[in-house]
Amino acid sequence: MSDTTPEPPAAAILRRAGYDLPPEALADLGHGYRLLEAMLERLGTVAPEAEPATTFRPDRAP
Amino acid sequence: MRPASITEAAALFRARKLSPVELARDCLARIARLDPELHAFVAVTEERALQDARAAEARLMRGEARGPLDGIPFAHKDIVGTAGVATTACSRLLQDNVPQEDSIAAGRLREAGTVLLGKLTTHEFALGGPSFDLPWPPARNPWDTARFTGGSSSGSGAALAAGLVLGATGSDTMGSIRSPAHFCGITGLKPTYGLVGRSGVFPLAQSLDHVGPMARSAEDCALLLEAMAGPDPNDPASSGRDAGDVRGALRGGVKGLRIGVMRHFHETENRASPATLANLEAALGVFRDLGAEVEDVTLSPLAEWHAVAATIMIAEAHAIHAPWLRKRFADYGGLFRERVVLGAAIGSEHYLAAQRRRHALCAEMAAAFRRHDLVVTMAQPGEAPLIEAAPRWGVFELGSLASPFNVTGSPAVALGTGFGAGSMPTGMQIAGPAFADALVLRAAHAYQQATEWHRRWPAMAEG
Repeated sequence: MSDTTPEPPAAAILRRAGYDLPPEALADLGHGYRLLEAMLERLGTVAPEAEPATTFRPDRAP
Repeated sequence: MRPASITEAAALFRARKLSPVELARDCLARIARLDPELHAFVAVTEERALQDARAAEARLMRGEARGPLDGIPFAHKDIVGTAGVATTACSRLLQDNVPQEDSIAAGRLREAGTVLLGKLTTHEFALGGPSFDLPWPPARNPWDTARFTGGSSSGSGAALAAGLVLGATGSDTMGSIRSPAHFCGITGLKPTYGLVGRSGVFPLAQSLDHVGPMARSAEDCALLLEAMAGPDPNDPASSGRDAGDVRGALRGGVKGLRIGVMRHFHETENRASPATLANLEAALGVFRDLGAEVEDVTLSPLAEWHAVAATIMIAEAHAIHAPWLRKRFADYGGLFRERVVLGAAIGSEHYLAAQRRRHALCAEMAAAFRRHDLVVTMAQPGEAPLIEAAPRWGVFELGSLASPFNVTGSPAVALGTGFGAGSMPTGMQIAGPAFADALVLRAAHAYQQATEWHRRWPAMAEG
């Protein structure tokens, strides 16, 4: 990859996550990453107020 | 004399017309003849099988049989831990893994008297497949060995369809019991989340993982569920419940039951093939003839259910595998590592959004079950594709008809409804509210009592 070629988004994310993958492995992930992005967009955003997925009840904790 | 089901084998044992040793030898001979083409087995435990069969036979002769599973030829998906028998998850990372203890499911089935024939092919770690770059070739569909079995419980589906075993374990995180059941024309139950303990089974995604029975009929699944279910002190998701008298509950039929059909899933959002649709309509006609009320039910779009399930599955799988993926990326098969490494791109905001949406979808499904006793769709929209054509990125393509019941944890059974234009099995999926496993199997059993599809064998398994 030349210095002027921008790093693909998936490659940047994986590098930040501690993966040191060869270019051919990263190239194969491009299509999957685009599908993943589209899928994640369907989830919407989490409202900042309290919501069920983060509810914690200490009296019910083991 | 070759039994077509566990129920038939148990009857033949009781009548002294067949012995467990004879049946085990017959299955081992069939494995030797057919498995070189099917690749359903990762390992065959012949010595153990004959030892188990002799012990079962001795109990039968003494009148001390442990129940209807005593002497039944069985095998486990290779993520299900088996004491002293390698449990590889079809991954190079675990190829030398030999557990010291049985998983709770394997232990319960051993105690029930099943005869262990071996371990069955799985997609790598129950996700990556069908793979051609692993030491274990992918299982082939006995109805046409050029075609896919479905997965990830691929060997379980193939072995049952070919009559190599009469019962098997499977696991189901996003359809891995029900897809092979559909494509291979057998019967597979994803029980209610938490009903069957998972300790000793390698996890894929803990908040979606289920272990369940696969067999040739709903009645056989009922027998297996009774043995497999129960409290699991080492599984934090264990419901602590037994399954109860599931086989006894099968007799109720479907008269008066309200069955909701999720047509928008399989007619619009992931439109099924004409033959699969026609066979489902015929199956719904059987339910009507048996006295059920059949009407449509509409839920959130299928893509939302799939997105929630896949986001949670890949995020949780990545959390499990990230330490190995960073160090041994090339040791995984291509399909597994490609899918799971992308979990690094799923942020905490995505995971929480998926879990939040999951709560809403569960409430929606619960409301549907107040109006309907059961719901019906399909586990797959058509016949098995050619194995080379199995989708590489299907996990992200938002069409999984199985995923809604992993999101909700509801019991769901997949079973055959006939054959399609390619002479391959078609199927349907019946689901019910949490812990209505017996009701789900009761409807499947009523259908199978009125039809013959589940009794058919592929040509290679005849004789």
